[in-house]
Amino acid sequence: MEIFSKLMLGFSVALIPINLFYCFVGVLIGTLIGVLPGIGPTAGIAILIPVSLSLSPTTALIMLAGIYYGSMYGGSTTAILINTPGEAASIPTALDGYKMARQGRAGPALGMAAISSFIAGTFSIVGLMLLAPPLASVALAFGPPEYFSLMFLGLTIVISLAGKSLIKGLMAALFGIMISTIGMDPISGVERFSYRNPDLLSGIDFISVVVGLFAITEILINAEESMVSVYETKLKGLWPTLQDWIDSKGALIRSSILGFFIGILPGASASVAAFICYDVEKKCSKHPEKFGEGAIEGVAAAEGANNSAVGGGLVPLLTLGIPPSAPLAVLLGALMIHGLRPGPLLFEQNPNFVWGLIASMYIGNLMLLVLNLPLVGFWASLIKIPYPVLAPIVLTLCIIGSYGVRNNMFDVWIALIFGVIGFFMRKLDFPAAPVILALILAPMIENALRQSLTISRGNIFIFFHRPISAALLILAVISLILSIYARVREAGKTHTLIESSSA
Amino acid sequence: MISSLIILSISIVYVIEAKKMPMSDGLSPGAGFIPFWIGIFMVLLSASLFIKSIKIKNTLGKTIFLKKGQGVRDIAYITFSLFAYSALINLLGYPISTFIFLIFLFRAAGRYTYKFSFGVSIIVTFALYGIFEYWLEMALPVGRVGIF
Repeated sequence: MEIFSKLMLGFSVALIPINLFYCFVGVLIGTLIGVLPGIGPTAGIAILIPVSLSLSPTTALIMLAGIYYGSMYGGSTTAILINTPGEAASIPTALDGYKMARQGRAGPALGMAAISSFIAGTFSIVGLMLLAPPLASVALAFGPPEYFSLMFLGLTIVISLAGKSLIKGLMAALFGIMISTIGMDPISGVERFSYRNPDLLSGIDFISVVVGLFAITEILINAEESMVSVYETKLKGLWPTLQDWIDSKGALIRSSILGFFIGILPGASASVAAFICYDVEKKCSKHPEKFGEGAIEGVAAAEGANNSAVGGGLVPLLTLGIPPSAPLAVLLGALMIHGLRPGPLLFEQNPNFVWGLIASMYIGNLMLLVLNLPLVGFWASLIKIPYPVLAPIVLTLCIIGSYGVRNNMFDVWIALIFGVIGFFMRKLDFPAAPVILALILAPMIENALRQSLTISRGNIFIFFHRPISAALLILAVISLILSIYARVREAGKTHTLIESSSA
Repeated sequence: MISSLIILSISIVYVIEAKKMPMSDGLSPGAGFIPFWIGIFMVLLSASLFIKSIKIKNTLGKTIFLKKGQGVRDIAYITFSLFAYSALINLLGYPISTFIFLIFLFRAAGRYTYKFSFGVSIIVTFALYGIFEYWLEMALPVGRVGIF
């Protein structure tokens, strides 16, 4: 009953006209970001943080969270219609969705994508509502060593999952930490790598780095590739048939539950959840051969999972202040810019904000269903905007976004430099997500490490004497070992393949 | 291979600079502690990547970094125009420099007609200016000329 009264408090906040309006703006922009290629949720949230500065923290975060889960809905449209997912979490959707479109069943594929997104999205908010408060109570017992170990675990999982090479994932994370060390040391006040430059003294703004690595890089990469033309099809009969429902009911339930729990894991993003749930569904199916050939349950599994993972990811973000993925890392940055400190105390000190945000997600999901089902034809027509028209407009928004936080041209130059760095990173197979997570987590990790060592008078074994901290560090080591093992096995297979093909 | 050498060089410089900072604040690590050890790890990883890249090069031969043709030209146009745009903003302010930036990219990378490029550029520039400057009340760069 206590949860119910808190939820009612949340609805009283979320239903204020200005919050409703910005919730709508958030999900609308999110859908747009999901539909249009060249800009993903990570860069989209970062670009709009400056815009949110004039709003109250609750209204701002309602809008920014709306962009994130809205982009999950929108991503399926391009995946199904042109086999080009708007963001990575919709890649598995394209496997069956595009085949369905080619078979003249684009309507039911888009309909099922929107419905499964709504069901799983709503389920994940219920999960978030039930799981976050008890976890926040447990996290109250966490001290600096536990926080250090938890963030360390988060980083190792991100590194393990990102990209093809463990070394490159690790180097990307270290690069993020290196960038974070530029500026004044928050504990001792010593200047680090700033060389008396006043702009560098206040550090590198993470928004510029995100805009550079995710938005500008994406446009440079797309400029090299020729964009695919839209598969012309008439959209009719969006509502799936009875057989479609029967085929998809298992996928809807499984992806909602599994996607949520995968989303909670540090490092496991919405795209990881979508891939795992798609794979699980294929293994559970009586007709696995239909997957990849236009199976509607494949669309339901992938879309359900990526939406459910959003609610799951908010659990560690709000209760522990640990973002499991790059878009949530940017959301964490936004929380801090607005003066909110995510962690166990957030639930006690800012109940209006936390429950207002949760309640707004119920409303936002309903808005998205309305936006995506009857208006799917409109979103599909947006894909027809030629990329050479879209790219310069997105680039202009990148410049405004990176300038807007501190009203400083220095941040724009940083975004441009990171755009070029990001282009080379993509070409050389260095993942960008660990850079962002490390950049945002590194100052917190450093503080937790230094506070822990001050408590223990320099004794490093403090991390192993405390059971929760020790368990988290063991998990971090296991995740790295498993990742090394998986890559060695994969390398072995590739080596055999090269040898057999050259023989 | 060249990239790993560049990363290795930057990491070495980073370690040398980190070494100049205090390593300890009495009982806790100082400002240079984390940068120093992060730099050392980066040196080791970039060195191992360098060795690995030599082995791969011997096995697979030359890899293609950039596809030749229009794509490369478009990348060059976008990169050049972005840097020029950022330099112009300081001088001319947001609206004029954005208009020039857009018209250049529509013409050079998009290969649209002057009429189309001019029309779309002017609409987009003033739409964005209206949204950000007046509706969202963000202070866009004015520039030294100070027209807007």
